[in-house]
Amino acid sequence: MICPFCSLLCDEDSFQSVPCGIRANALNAIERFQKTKLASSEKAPQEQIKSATKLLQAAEHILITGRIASVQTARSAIRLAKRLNATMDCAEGGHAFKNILPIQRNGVHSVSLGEARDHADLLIVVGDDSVLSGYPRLPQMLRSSDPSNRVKKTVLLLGDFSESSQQRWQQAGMDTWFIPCKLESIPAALAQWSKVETPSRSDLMGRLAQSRYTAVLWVASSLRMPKADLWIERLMQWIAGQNETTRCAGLVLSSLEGSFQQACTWLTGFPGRIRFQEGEPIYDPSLYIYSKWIESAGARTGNSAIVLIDETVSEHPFLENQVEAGLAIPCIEISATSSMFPCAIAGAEVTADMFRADQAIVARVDSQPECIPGHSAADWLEKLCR
Amino acid sequence: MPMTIRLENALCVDGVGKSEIRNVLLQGPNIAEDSVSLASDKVASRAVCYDLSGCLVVSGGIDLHTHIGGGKVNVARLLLPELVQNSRSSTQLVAERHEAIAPLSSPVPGTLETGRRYLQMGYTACFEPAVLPANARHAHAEMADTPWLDTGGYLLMGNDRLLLDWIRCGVPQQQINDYVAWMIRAHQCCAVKVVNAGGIDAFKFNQRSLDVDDLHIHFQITPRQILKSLATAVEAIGLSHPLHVHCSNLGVAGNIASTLATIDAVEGRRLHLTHAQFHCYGKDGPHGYSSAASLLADRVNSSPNLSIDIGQLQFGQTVTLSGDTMHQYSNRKLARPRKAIFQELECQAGCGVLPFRYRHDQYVHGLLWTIGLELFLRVQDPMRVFLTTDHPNGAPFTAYPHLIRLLMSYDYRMGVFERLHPEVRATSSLPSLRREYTLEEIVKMTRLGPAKAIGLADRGDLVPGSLADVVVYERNDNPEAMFANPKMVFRRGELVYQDGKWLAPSVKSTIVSKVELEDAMDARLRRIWRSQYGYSTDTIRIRDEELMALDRQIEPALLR
Repeated sequence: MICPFCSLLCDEDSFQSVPCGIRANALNAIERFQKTKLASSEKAPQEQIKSATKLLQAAEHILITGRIASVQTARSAIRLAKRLNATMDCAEGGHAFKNILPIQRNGVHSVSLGEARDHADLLIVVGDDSVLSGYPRLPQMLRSSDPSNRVKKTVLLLGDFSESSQQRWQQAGMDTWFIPCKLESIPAALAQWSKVETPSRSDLMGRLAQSRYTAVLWVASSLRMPKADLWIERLMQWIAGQNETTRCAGLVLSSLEGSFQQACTWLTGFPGRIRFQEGEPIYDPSLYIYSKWIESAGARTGNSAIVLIDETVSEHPFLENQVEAGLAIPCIEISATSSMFPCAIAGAEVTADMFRADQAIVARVDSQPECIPGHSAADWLEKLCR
Repeated sequence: MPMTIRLENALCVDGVGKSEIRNVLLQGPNIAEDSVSLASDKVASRAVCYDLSGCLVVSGGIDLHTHIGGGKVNVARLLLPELVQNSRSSTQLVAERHEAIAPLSSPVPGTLETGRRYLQMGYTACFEPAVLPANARHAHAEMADTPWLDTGGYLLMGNDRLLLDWIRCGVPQQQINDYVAWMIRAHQCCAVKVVNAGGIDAFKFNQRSLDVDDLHIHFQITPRQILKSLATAVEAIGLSHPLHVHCSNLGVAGNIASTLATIDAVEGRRLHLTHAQFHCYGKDGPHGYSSAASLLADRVNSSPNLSIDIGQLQFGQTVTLSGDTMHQYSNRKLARPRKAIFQELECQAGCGVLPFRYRHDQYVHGLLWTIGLELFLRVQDPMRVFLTTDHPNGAPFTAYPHLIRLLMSYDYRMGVFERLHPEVRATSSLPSLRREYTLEEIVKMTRLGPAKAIGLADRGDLVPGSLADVVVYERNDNPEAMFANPKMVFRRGELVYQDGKWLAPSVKSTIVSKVELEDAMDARLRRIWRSQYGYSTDTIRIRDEELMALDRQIEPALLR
């Protein structure tokens, strides 16, 4: 099954046997997400819908945002946004668009996780320790488990990695190299190996030249630098250049919101950051950003409202700080029910479905005894659509 | 009591019976016998009757090759927001030359627009021809959001690394048959598609070309072996639609040799060659590109087991999207706008997405336009040549009415031909092909033929018992105007489109093929999958209840 917390293809049989910090934290947090919240109220569902509908009808400016992880909820949220002529941008939009913007400017050569696991013999992991904080089992996931696959993988860690990170890659059975360098300079370093200060540089260049297939991995959420999209664009250009003579591709790890981006793209033509006008989506990735929308709420005339959807089990409720910061924007909050994460029920042996195997986005429910029929996030949104 | 609708006094054409002015009775979801007089018929007295004098009645159109769902369609949307007409950053699309029909808002519109615009032309079923197994759930979810159309998918298999390894090892054909059946069932598809057999995978090993008898650099097998093995499996497990093949050497000058070798590779078994226009080029001519349409057409005419769809090109902006990473990559410098996406996916396939602008005044583009039309006109049997643009690769599907006019009118065709590059006009044999398609032939190539090719016994004609997916056009001397805008469209006997208005959304079905599965294969794959891909087969299997209205399953061809 797929880990719903980091979205990797862990495929472990039991959650309790997995030494993954992210899962452990998430499992502890599940308890408080068992109930459905709407308008932060304990009122009867019909009453809640009535008051939420009234609030939305009175609002001239509406933002639909949050952490949407399933196709069904994405469909319902987009339908509601269209009906209300609302703005839509999801929580992970800021990270996702670090990758999307350079792709829309120049394109990309990319490889999926399974392909990289099976085929790549050289992994260049770019970033710092936060790569493994976000995806703790990545080294195991990228180690081919096929005994007939005798290709020995080499990992080149490029950036700011601790001894501990290096050891974890080594423990996964990979030949590990580490070249410390400033994150900002990595695209240039890749383009000009002479800037890399290492006595093993010539060995490394030889390894790169011999590589059958190089996968370059970065995690957008760990790139906390200005203009990260331009940094990624340079990395993508380097990858494109490599393909003139050999094979190389970027392994762009997706987040749980990948399913929202996919569904939003096929329903509206755009991966997010849209506003509906007379039912038609307008795309502007530099304008329709949830944080900008909230910041400018005070300057707008007319009522504003937020529909906040959270299907994750994150410890940190999304937008909590922003909404409570005195902006006084009414917020309708729709949280996850257990229906989203049957595999997150500790010890439960359940089967999950992959939405897209190549990106391993989200697990969907097969059976979930705790699910309250008609009370999923999508169900609530559908009721608001009526 | 099911709704009864009587369509009266229309010219009825279905390619089966005689084309004549008569009535068609729609009773509930099916067409019913209309053998009694209107005055004495109790059913008719309760029927809603439409006097359709001056109209044409045909069954709903079927597009057997159009990219409407799955990974690369969405990748193309992601890549090209500026080509969406209402986006803030949009650029003006180059005007399309389809005067009777408004252009799409984008070369790859969203699902709602796709469904609406297909219905607006009278199409009621469409098939996504490249479902990557790893993306099958996505593809079905996307097609479920495409309203008014029944949908189905062809599963990509010709570059599946497990399959290639088994062929290398020389496993028994029965094992491959069982594997294909298992994959079709697990991913809920209705046919098997091969794209550049072995070539997508070879490109992952930095092999830049692979002809039908070349060895894959890693697996040491040839595309010929892959094609033969899969064509055999498709027949053995009883799939109605033959192996659906995108040949080696897409778009390469001289690729007719590969195409003919592909036909030979399956040794007389049933075969469908898709977007054939992109696969029948010679090496002669002013720029080393020439038409080899007559060679392919001759082979089709003499091979009853062979069918093709065209993938006709039209001039204007579009986007090409293909699983053929190898050849899409080789065309990267032709991209307009200058950007492209290449993906390598899950040991199964890949994709390349390149925006493209076809121009009247460009020699090769003009030549390709003539080659597609040559194929249409040279293949004699309209039941074995199908109207496609390989949407969006050759053109958007909204080009169909225009293409129909090109096929039905020699003068109109020549009018467009005269605007082409002078060297195309000087070398093309198109002016010598004076054939004009009849209405019956158009109906066969867009309705009855695709239905038979896929194995849809319940549609494609106006025979009692067939599905009441019926289209009414106002007859017009200009077929482009006629086919661009039906007067009415019925789905399952329900009026869903009338005079430019989309009415209630109607039922949708997902079309899959029934196949028999071997338990032993299930257990074997369970082990292999976990070992090779790292996850369980349960994770990828798509259950019946997940699909949108799975109520139309294609029976195995051999069991009928």
